[in-house]
Amino acid sequence: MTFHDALAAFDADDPSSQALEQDIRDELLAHLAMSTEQGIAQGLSPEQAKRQAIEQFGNFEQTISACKRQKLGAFTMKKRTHQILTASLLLLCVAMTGYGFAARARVAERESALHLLNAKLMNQQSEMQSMKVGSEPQLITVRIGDQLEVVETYQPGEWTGKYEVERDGSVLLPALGHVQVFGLTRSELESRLTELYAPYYALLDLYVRVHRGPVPPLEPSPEETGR
Amino acid sequence: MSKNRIELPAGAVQLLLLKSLARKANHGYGLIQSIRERSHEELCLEEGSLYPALHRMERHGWIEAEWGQSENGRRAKFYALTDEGRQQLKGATKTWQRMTGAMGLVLGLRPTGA
Repeated sequence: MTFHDALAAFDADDPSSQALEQDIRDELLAHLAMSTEQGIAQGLSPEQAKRQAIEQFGNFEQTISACKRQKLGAFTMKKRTHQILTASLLLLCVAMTGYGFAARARVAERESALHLLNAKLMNQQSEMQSMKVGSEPQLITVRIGDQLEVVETYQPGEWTGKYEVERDGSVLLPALGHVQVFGLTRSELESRLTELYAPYYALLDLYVRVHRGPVPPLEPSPEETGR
Repeated sequence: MSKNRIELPAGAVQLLLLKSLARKANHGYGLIQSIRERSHEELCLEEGSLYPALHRMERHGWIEAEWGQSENGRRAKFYALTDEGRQQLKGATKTWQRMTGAMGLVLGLRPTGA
């Protein structure tokens, strides 16, 4: 079936289209009848004359379709163009809506990734700063009076902030209360806080920066810290 | 029917039909017979070309159709030229003459004077 035949089939249910097709069919059948009569007049049997007329005519149904297309011409094209334009517009709206959602998701994903990268860079800078003063970043341990800067990627506003290490070597953290941090390295501290916050959040990715406080007057005793 | 079929250029079928209908109103079968006779069997229009052309010309308003009775008393659709069709015939004939004249010049053919 050609494209044009498909268009004709699409219009088949239209009553005006059916009437037009019948009119064309009647006209072509009349032609076959006249052609058959001539064959008979030339000495052929009715059956032979009819067969000759049909063979001579060619593709009957195809000619009907062609006549319909020519007859409807601009009207069909306008109707078809209108249908195609409407369908295209709908598809465009759907595509743009989908693109909008996808774009927003990509932006959110990028922002999250940037935030993560930023946090990692901050940590690297902190480590480099520590290396500049001649100490291994892994060996920095938390002291009383230090400021712990906690950065969490997935819940950035919830409890990201600075927390001072108190005299008993603990910090007061949201939801957890006092947590002993004295003497922990940065990585130990991150692991400890991740473990403690895990029951509260399905997604967790936190970093800790240790800001040195003033020289502590006294270190707490092992009995005070519980370590 | 001649086996050496002449391939008619674009617009030629329309011109033949307009000229034939200018002489007298006719149905499709009659138009085929008329053109074949006047062309001395050289031009045989095919039904697959004739009827779509007639419907296209009707849509343009160059011809109008009406059901009537043929010579044998059979029901048939007759076509007749409209005023717009006559204008179209005039213009198309001039264009054809220009084209065939130009072709003749290039091919070195002498004008027939017809």
